[in-house]
Amino acid sequence: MKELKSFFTKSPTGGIFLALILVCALFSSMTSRFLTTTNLSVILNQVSVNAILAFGVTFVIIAGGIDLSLGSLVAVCGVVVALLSQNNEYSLWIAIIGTLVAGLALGALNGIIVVLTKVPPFIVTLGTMTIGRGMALILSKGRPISDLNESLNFLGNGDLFGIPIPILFLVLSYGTCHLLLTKTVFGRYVKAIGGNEVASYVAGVRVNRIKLYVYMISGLFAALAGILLTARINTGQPNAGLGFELDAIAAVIIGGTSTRGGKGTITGTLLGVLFIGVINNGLDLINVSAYWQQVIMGGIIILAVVLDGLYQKLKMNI
Amino acid sequence: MAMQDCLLKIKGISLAFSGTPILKSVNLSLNQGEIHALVGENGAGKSSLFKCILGIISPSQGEIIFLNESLSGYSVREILRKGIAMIHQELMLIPELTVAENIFLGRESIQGKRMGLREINQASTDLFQEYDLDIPVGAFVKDLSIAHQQIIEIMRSVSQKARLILMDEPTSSLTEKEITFFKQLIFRLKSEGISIVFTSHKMDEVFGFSDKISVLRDGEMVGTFSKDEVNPMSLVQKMVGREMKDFYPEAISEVGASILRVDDLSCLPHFEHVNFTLCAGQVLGLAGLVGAGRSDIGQVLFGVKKKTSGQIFLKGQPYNPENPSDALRAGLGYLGEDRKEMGIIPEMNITENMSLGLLDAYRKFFFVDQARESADSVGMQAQLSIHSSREGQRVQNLSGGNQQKVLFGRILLNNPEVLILDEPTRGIDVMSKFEIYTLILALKKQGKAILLISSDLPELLAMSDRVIVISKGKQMAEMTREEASPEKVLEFALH
Repeated sequence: MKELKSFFTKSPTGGIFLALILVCALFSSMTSRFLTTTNLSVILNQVSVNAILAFGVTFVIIAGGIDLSLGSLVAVCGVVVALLSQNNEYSLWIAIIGTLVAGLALGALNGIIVVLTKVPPFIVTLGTMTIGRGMALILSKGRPISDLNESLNFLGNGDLFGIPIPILFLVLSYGTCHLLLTKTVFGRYVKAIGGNEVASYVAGVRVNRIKLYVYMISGLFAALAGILLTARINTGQPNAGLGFELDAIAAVIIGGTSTRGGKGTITGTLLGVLFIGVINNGLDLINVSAYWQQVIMGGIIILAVVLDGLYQKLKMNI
Repeated sequence: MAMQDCLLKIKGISLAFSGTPILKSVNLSLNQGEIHALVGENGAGKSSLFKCILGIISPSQGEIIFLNESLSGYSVREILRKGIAMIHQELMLIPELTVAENIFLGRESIQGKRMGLREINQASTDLFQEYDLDIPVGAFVKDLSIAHQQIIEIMRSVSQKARLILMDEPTSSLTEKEITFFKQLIFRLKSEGISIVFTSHKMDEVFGFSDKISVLRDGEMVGTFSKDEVNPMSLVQKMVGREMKDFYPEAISEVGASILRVDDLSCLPHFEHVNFTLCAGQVLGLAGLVGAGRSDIGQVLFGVKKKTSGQIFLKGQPYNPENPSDALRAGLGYLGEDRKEMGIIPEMNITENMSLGLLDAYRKFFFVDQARESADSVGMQAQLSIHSSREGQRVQNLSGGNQQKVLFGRILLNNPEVLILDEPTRGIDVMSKFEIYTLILALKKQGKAILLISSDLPELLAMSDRVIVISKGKQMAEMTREEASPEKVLEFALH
């Protein structure tokens, strides 16, 4: 019991965890269809793409940056994987690796512009967001790409030992990112740069290199999300991923990562993603219209951050 | 002293935060036109006392009497109106407004009369003329030096008819020359009958400015003294509550081989044609005014800034650091002049701050070997007697002195041969200062070569074996410790 209390009061993710439990309890009391194994699996499957994007962009935000190009990168990479796996021309492995490399390269482009020009990342990635959308349309000639490799479809809709593949990717990405942020030299330096960039530089941290890497990670996970999305709908859609960056960033912020950089956790991001996913799913189940869902979601995002601020203050006094 | 001369009387004020006593039955009295220094270590209760006077916090016991009237029950705003003003260490001006607009901020209408731009400009000009100040009232505050900004804050208090001005470390970011001007200004205020209470860590100001000196220690008033009753040595003893043999510890060591040689080094527009040699076991002091280019020399040596011409040799080999990471690997250590800006990562804990930039040494594949990292950090914390209330405490919650010691720990973990220390004791309490002096001399004894940059002239002269004076980016003089005197150094520095 004591440990439980200490988790809620001491852990940085205690607040959002509590909120998640509360909304789950709320929906379970409103409909019996919420708390079922099938529905929970549906939620996890639905949030997997957003989760993977959000994990990647968590690094960027902790380092004090932002990546608005995510949605466009999802589209470009979705189109690239579709082109590479059309008509069984290349093996699935080549299609996947090629797409991940494309994602890394596009992320590197963001990073290089940010580091070299010193233009605020908000502006840079706003630019590459538009560039990316254009590239997706150019590559696909503006049309959806179909007739994809059968085994790609399996990635989006198949399962392994009864667990849907996207959920496996979610779990794998969570573990990798969590270790990367909490246990590695790189993760430590990401937090240091976000906490005080000048001090990190003077202390000998290769600030530019770390900044480049965080955008590359963001690009890599956008590529993975693009692959999963294309695999799920079995089509390469140049218009896919519209507004995905906002959902991902919202999840990161709800998960307690500071937009000023310096602190944040992957676990928090996961909880933020689940929070958004549960609310979307729950509102669907109790038949709230899609239009109202958006209004409610926006309000909840603001409320979550306000409450978290109050909660942090409260914690100081415990 | 006649009763009517007494401006402020503090009677037995006590204050506690969640059980921890902050002020213990503090008494203080202040006459009109008196300049009163309030000294004590960080955390002794000086700021809390100021906050009580201003009504920001209300004491649990005792009372404050200002002009024969008790202040208890009045709001901050009402107390300000009664004639008490405060100049905070971090100035509270709006950078995007002009000087005059800042002085009259929030008072655009006085006694029903609306003060337009012309009226406030005129009123400010009159005020400045009265005090012989040469600051354009239409200038934007952001374009002014810190010293001028501070004068504007003081003038704002004067224009609000303040009878008592509280100043929290008013000289901490001023140069020697500006301090001289500041002194003239507060003596002028004194002659107008305005009383001043200020805090300072610098002994020459405490003795140079004040009529009376009060010492706080751990929330208790040790006593109020006139200048003849105490000297800097005895005052420091009262502040820390124990004997200190000598404020600047003595250290004699053999000067070793030349380690770092700087040959005709320039970094325009900051400094040019600088030459010196730094040997093992030696402290070389860089004196000069703030902005003279002293800090830039240190930054070029550590790869923070790039030289424009000249050469640097490290142990005989040409040395050209591209960035601080290169300098670190070459065996240099650097302490930046601004702890908050270039030193600490506030959100991180002591260990993470210490190992910052050195994690390659603690790498186990991709991962940080946290056990070894933590062991080294704990050892260093003990060695430097860093006090933290709990394991994993964020550095932002430590005192300035402890933060500075954490940064020393970061330097020492890398075991450098050359240390560049820019303002190592700025804004920290007396006890930590003493510990840092002892540490610097211990390092010197171990044969480290130390470049010391400091605006605190007594400190620089006491610690350095040789002193180089920089003025406006040029090397003006080099002298030994025996040759150097404050007057001589200042003469070159002001040249």
